[in-house]
Amino acid sequence: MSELQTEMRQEHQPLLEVTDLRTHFRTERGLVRAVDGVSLTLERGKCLGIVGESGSGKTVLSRSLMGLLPSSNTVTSGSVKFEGKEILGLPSKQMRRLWGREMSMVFQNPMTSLNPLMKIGQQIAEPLNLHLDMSRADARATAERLLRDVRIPEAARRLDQYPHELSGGMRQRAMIAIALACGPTLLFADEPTTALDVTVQAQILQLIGEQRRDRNMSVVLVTHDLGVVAGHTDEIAVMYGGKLVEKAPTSVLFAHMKMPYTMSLMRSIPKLEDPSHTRLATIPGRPPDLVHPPKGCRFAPRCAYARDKCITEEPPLRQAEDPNHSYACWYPVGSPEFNQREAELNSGAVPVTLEAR
Amino acid sequence: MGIKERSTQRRRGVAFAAAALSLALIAGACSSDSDTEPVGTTGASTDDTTTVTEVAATPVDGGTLRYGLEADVDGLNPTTSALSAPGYVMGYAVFDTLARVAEDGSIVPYLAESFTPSADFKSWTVKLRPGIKFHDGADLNADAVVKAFLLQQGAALVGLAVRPFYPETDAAVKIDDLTVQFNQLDANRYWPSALTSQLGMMPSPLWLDAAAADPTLNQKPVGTGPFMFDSRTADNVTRFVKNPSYWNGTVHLDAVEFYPVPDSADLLDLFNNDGLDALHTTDQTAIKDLKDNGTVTNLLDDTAEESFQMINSQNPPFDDVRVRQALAYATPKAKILELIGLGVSRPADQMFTPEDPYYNSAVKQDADQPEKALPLVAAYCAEKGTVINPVLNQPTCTNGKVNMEYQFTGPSVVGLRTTEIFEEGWKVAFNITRDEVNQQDHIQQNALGQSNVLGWRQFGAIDPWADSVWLLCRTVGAISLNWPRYCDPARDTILLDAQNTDDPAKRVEGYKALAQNMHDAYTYIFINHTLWTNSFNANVRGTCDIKTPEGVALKCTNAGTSFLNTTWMDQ
Amino acid sequence: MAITLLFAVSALTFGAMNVLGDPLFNILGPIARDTGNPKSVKLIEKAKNDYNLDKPLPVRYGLWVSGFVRGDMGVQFSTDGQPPVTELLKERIPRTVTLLILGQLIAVLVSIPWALISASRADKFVDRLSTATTFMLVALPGFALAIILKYVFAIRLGWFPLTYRALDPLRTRLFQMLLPGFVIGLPAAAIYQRLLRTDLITTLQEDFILMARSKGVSKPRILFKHALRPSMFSFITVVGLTTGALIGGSIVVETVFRIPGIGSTLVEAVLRHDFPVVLAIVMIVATAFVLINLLIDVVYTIIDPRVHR
Ligand SMILES: Nc1ncnc2c1ncn2[C@@H]1O[C@H](COP(=O)(O)OP(=O)(O)OP(=O)(O)O)[C@@H](O)[C@H]1O
Ligand code: SF4
Ligand SMILES: [Mg+2]
Repeated sequence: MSELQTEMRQEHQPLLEVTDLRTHFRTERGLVRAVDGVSLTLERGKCLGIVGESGSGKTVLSRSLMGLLPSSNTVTSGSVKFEGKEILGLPSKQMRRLWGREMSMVFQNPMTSLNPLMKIGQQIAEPLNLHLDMSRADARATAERLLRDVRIPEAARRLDQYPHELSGGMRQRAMIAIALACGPTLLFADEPTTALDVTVQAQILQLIGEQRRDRNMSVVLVTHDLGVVAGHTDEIAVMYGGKLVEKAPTSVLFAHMKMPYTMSLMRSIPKLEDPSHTRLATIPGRPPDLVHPPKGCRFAPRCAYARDKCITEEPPLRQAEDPNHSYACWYPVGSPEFNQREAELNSGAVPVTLEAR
Repeated sequence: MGIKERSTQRRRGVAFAAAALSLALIAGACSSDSDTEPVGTTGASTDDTTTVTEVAATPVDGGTLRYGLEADVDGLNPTTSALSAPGYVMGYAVFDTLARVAEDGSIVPYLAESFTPSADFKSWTVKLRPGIKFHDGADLNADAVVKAFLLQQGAALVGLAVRPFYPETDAAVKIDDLTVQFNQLDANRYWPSALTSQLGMMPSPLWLDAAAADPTLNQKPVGTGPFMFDSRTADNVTRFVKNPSYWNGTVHLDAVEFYPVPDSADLLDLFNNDGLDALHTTDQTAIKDLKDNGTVTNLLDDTAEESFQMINSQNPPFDDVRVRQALAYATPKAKILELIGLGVSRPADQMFTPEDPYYNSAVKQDADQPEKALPLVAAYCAEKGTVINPVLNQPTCTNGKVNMEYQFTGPSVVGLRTTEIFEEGWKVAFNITRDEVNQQDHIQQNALGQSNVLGWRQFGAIDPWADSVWLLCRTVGAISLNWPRYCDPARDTILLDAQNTDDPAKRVEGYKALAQNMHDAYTYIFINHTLWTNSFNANVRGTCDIKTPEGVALKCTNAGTSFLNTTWMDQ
Repeated sequence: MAITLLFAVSALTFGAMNVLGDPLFNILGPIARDTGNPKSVKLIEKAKNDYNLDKPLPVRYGLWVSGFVRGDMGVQFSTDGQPPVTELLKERIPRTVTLLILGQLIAVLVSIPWALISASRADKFVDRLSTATTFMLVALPGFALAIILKYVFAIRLGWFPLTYRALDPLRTRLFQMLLPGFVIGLPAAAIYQRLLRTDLITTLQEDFILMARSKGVSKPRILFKHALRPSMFSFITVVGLTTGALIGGSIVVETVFRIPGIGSTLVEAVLRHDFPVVLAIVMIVATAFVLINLLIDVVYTIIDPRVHR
């Protein structure tokens, strides 16, 4: 590699570079492979959506990236580079310098993720005091401004309120305000809208989007709802059973999705008329057992397009037509085998047999 | 740590015992032989009444003496509160008695100037020293003495032990301002010994009047003694300060503070760690420690009380001497002395110690011969085995053994262990029903005769005549101070004769006969002599220098009491 | 509600004490039962009259209640000039209260950091060791702990005085109560520690703790600022409830350290069937118990803004 190339790479150094990340939990049942060999990169200012049904390891992945998992029964391997520096396995003492300041997280449940016994103002001011050494008064002023930034009405009054005095949407806004307080370069949002009303969901996503652009911040948006990520992400990574099974720029993915699993996710996007919280139970069958995952394609037991090869051989992550698009499937959408099966299914000639039913 | 008890009830326990027994006549309280004092062993020590001779030194004035007591008292009024050993120690600080015991054992006047008997020895005329004043300024005169005496005689509890010996009216009569005549029911040549104890303590008449109106004053005594009451916090500390105008010599100590410490291990800890300058105790472990400590002055005395098992002879089957005798034979005395005692106190065969002139060497307490118990019980059961024992409400015998109740106080580890050992011996001929009761019920049931057999402690009189309160036919009654309820006119004769002879030989003979008589009645099974110590740390001096104004040296300890008149402290 | 409770307690105690024992014995000794003797009978009559024992039970209860609310708790059953119950307790209660407050203070001050350390290192060596220690402290009889602490810290090391001395100035007496306070406080601390540790461990798994971590809050600060307060509810409840139990512990401690408080007085009074004293103490303890738990309710609202009254 020439010096020039090295320089070039540094200039185009991605904010986050994850290589073969594995996060396993030691449990009584055995080793839970919650994240099993994930590689991805995230450029500055971009938004990456991580999608997958419940239990696919999205939360574990995002927490692994941020180093927030409990150390006691967790085994991690691989590499996570943040601004080129390896951060995987750093002790929390060192991670603490990044937390809040460089990377922060918005959690799924605004009801339980705010300290119920601490005033909103204090909760926002806390990282300001800690990281930016702000005085009390400055921190308070900043907190008020942040609350206004996230569009909470009567911001000044809210500072002295407790979380239970706020609505769910407002709480989530408050949490975003906390996460944004110190101007992080990377924001994780783990299902930030799942617990909220549909109308509020859109507002929150919009808010995150705005803030991302205003602050030139990168965002990892975790969700089980492809619909949510559609309009707000630059790139989407689809997870199944702890693995990345498809990854593509958002527009590419929606136009040319390759994985039958992604397709199922697509089909299960809740329509606006559905009640909120409609889950992905619409994909028949159960997610794989992460202690004893299926040998071949992990989706095979639930895949209507599975053939013998799928059960015995694990499909590698392959590049699609678009160089930024990769997927792991033997018979992707559009392949002859897929089309053949699709036709059979439509004609009703082949009954759909599902193992886990 | 050995076997010991932590008991909060002890203070009241002692007070109850004393109250029930009403020791107005005798120095040295008696109490139920149950709680903290295991009985002694066969390893008799000969130096029991040691008086440590002090190096002559000039007394220094000043200092506060801290004195540890085995219990607190309920009150300090000698006309209403029966005084136990702690009560006496404090009482002797604030009150003087009309008479005192000299070093040679004779009775000498103290507040009194003289005692003169009438020709028949039924009346005694007591002349008071002139010019003595109470702490409140009142004069010590005949009125004060008569008032104190009559109050005690009439007091419900304290009077119990006084009334058997005095007429209901005119027991004390003022002759002139400084002369009082005491009248008794019986002739008694040795009567002045009565004035050495609670009955002889002189409280201020002004204070007595005030205390009658406000009983809380019973906690704040006023006497003529070397120390004046200062303050009292019940169960913690009672403080007296020097009486600067004491009538009998200079008082050296500025103050004396009495600390009740019911747990003897705590008492010793405080003493050894500069928390106390003096203490008294009957705890054998503590006494052993104190004796081994070379720097401590120990005033030891085991001439006062004896521990024994006591039998109520009123009810079947113990109304039959054979059964009482059988119980004595079956008593595992040696084992008790070995297992419970610690080689500190001496075994007892009678109420006198071997040094006592009245000791009868022919009298040996029957015990440890269970084989002799069997035929006695067999004979009794064959004859009267179906009679009802009212205490148990059962037939007197079952399966050829006598049914009996054994009462002891609890909860107490020592009491239980002791009971087990006794039972171990007795069970050859007796079926024992245990009755564990609290101290209060123990005394009450004993006083009312509602028990068969129990452990007890008494016979601590200065002069043996005064122990007759436990022995005479006249003290048998609904409330008996004659606890065994055993009336023997011959014994009364012995007692009354012995107190009315001026022939020492005849007196010795009389009390020897008494010891034999008590042995033969089998109402007491003597175990050991209670050993008391009054101990002082090395810097406490002059503990045994007390004298009368005439210069007669006085006996400085008896049954846990001592005097502080002449005590002083090095720097 | 509280008043009803106090009435129930007083009526029960009053009834029980009357059934259980014969107060006359305290006053008259064996004479109390010497009913065959006209002289004794006279004394008995007089005593019954003096102490209201001849009145029927409800009347006596009524008399007692009306006296009690006026601050007169009656007389002690004794002939030795014991002060009236009100006086007795006026003198003794402050000592026991001081002792209990000290004990609770020690218990709380010891248990909170102890629980924080344990919870932050749950199931590690330190936590296991402290668990063993708490079990030992709870299992150890009060008097044994009293003797051990007294031996080590008063006799061996000489840091504390061996005994309480009523004559000393207030500050000295407070110091004398410190070691007794530890005897009362340590077993309580052990219980509080167990409880708080468990609640802390639960709280530490809450989302908002993770949230705090993700803000970059340090571990000690998370423990103190975020985890402690939400974990205090059962802790505070038990601190309130334990106050009653601690009075039991004070009996032993007062005896060992010779503190003339109400613990030892209560035991004596029960043994003597001196029920004016027993009743007064029971009532005061019950009232204190009610008050403390009312106070606890107030503390809840201070700690948790969600609790509204
Ligand atoms: N600390 C842990 N110990 C053991 N197993 C764990 C632990 N944390 C997560 N898991 C397991 O890892 C798997 C992935 O969980 P994760 O929470 O990442 O799923 P998810 O995709 O976020 O699902 P959801 O949409 O429900 O949030 C699950 O099976 C879960 O049970
Ligand atoms: S590899 Fe086979 S089983 Fe897996 S998704 Fe593709 S078609 Fe389905
Ligand atoms: Mg999740």
